[in-house]
Amino acid sequence: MNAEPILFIAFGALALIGAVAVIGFKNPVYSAIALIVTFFAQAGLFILLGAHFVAAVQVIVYAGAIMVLFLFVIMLLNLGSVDVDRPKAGIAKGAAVILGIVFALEGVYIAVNASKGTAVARVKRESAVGGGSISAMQLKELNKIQATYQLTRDEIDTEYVPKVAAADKTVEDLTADEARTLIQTLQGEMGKTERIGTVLFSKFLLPFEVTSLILLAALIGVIALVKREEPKEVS
Amino acid sequence: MSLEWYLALSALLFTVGVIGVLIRRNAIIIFMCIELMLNAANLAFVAISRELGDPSGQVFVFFVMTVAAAEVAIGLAIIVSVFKHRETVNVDEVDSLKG
Amino acid sequence: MELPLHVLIISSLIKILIVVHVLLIGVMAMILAERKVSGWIQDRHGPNRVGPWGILQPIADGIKFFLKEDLIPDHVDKPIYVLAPAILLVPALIICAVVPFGSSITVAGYEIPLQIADINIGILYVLAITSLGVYGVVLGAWASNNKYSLLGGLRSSAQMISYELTLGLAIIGVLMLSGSLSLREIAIAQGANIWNWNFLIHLPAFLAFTTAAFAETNRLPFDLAEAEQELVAGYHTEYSSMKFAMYFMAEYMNMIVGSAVAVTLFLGGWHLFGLENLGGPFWSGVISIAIFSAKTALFLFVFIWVRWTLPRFRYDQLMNLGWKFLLPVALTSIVVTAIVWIGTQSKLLVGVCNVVAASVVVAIVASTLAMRREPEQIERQEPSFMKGSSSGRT
Repeated sequence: MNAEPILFIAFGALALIGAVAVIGFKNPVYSAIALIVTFFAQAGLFILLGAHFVAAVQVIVYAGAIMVLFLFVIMLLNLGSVDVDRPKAGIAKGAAVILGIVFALEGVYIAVNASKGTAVARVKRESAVGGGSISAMQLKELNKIQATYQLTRDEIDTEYVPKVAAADKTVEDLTADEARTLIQTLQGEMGKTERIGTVLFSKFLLPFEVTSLILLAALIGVIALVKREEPKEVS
Repeated sequence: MSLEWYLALSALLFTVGVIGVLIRRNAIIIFMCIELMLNAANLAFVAISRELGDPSGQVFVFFVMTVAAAEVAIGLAIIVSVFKHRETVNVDEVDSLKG
Repeated sequence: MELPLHVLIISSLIKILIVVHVLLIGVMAMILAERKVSGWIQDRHGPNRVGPWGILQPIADGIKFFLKEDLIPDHVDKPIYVLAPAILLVPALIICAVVPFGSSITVAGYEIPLQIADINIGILYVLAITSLGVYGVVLGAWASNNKYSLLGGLRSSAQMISYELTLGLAIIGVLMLSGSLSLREIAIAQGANIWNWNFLIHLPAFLAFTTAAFAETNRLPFDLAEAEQELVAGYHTEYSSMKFAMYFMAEYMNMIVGSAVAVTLFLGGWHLFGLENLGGPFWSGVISIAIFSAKTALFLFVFIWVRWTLPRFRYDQLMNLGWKFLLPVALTSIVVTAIVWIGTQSKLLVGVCNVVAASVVVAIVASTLAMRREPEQIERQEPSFMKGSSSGRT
């Protein structure tokens, strides 16, 4: 029973409709609501892809914070009722849409052909070998996973190997098929919060710290931008 | 579902964002379209991350979100201060630097 | 403990039905309790005309709401005006999907967990859905096309964003000691004894969380969004009949769900000195539900008590409290919990250090604020954006 295609079509269609509605509505408040719908559909797609933590963060950050900020500014400036878009020359608008459609076709073409002859396809082929005992390639793959998640070989042997093979086996004794299942199990867990956390705070520690600087810079920038000059004279 | 479908959807969403930036003149909506494009990129990141079995893609999404949050804060602050001075958010009317 | 598919579906449906109805009945009970307790606090009787001791009052209120004319003013933005109350009500309802309201109950040989869905990102789900509640208020306020509503909506959005941060940061210490995001795991990790519950280990974080939860439900002393004396009725000025009733219900539902989450995170969930293990596999489940309900009711009483005791904050006081006191306390709690737990692995030390550190932080902030206060600044300072929107552009 595989529900993924149905859910993909449902969420994908919702995301697309929402996206088109964002640029279609005249009223910014309606656009914002449409954008929230798109973000939600995307969170659904993330869950389909097994990225549960990313999905939750998507809703918290985008729907919960960023869009509230948008609505706040729209309401603050009272832009809801004013129609800012004055009618533009039809040619420019038409050209933009046509260019956009061409761009979309290109994008889809590239996306559909992306898995032929690229790095993605290579990995897939190599891990798909069957029969015999565990291959060198699979061992390399397992070592890589082990390093990324900071697991020890013992943990894999005691926790994950029993899920795919007899409990007393170790990684080296697995057959190629079992090893493939093991790799898939481990990779399937990458949406888990602790796995993301391990990677974020080991491999990506420096970028993580740098983003905090970006946020600090944004914080200071915003305060500098909107700070009112204190009026000198006493009114 | 294979990777192609997700990448195609991501490309379509991105394009909708691009068209929005091109045809709309309301600064706030242009901003929303930029968010849309960033999200399309996030979708591609997560899809490829699953395909490669590498969590780096998901971690990248967090960085994109952080940058997006910072960008929204700054951008909206700029829009507010432009509105304070010019009483408009139409990007065509804010053209003093055009010479 | 894998259940067969049909048992899973049927038991889930039954649980959903029960939870939703208990919530709706709970709202009615809360309305009655609120009026009775407020009467008691103010030394008067409270409702006592409808039914014995006035217990049918909520039903009379409900009938009144149904029979009133459902008014949609001309100047409103109709689609959003109709949608907004539902946007507030639905998140309140769906949060309870992840709240464990008991351990587990054995019926017909199947051990059924007393929780609708135990998802591995449980607490993040709660935070994500909570953050959506603000749209109901903000969109309703905007769609009403009314000066007072808009002001209420603006206040509410700024307030919710500010206090959501505290809400999220205050629970990180809890997550660190439990090592899980699942609400069930968090409740189990606290164990049966009161000295292991998180509200003692993370006392400052618990107080910050509770305060932020009060603010998120838009109740006194944080009801700036609907301050009657200033804004008529704030964001729901233009709402009447069932649409107003939905706002009203959503507020009480948010209180109940917020209390349930707080009980799970900080007050040990369904545990109470091993009492929850008494009886057979069936009765222990019932007892655990009863313990959980009792704790939630206790928490709800605090909600009502606070509402009828404290006066409303001024807007700048609200922002000061959120950003200058609660947020530093929550951040300190994270740092202290992490360091002490890594260093000593002792819950007692974590608890003591948390309290000490939080007191130091509060003292520092308070003394800094007290030193900076100059005589002419005492006059009322409205935040800059309030000036912008009240100057006639609405």
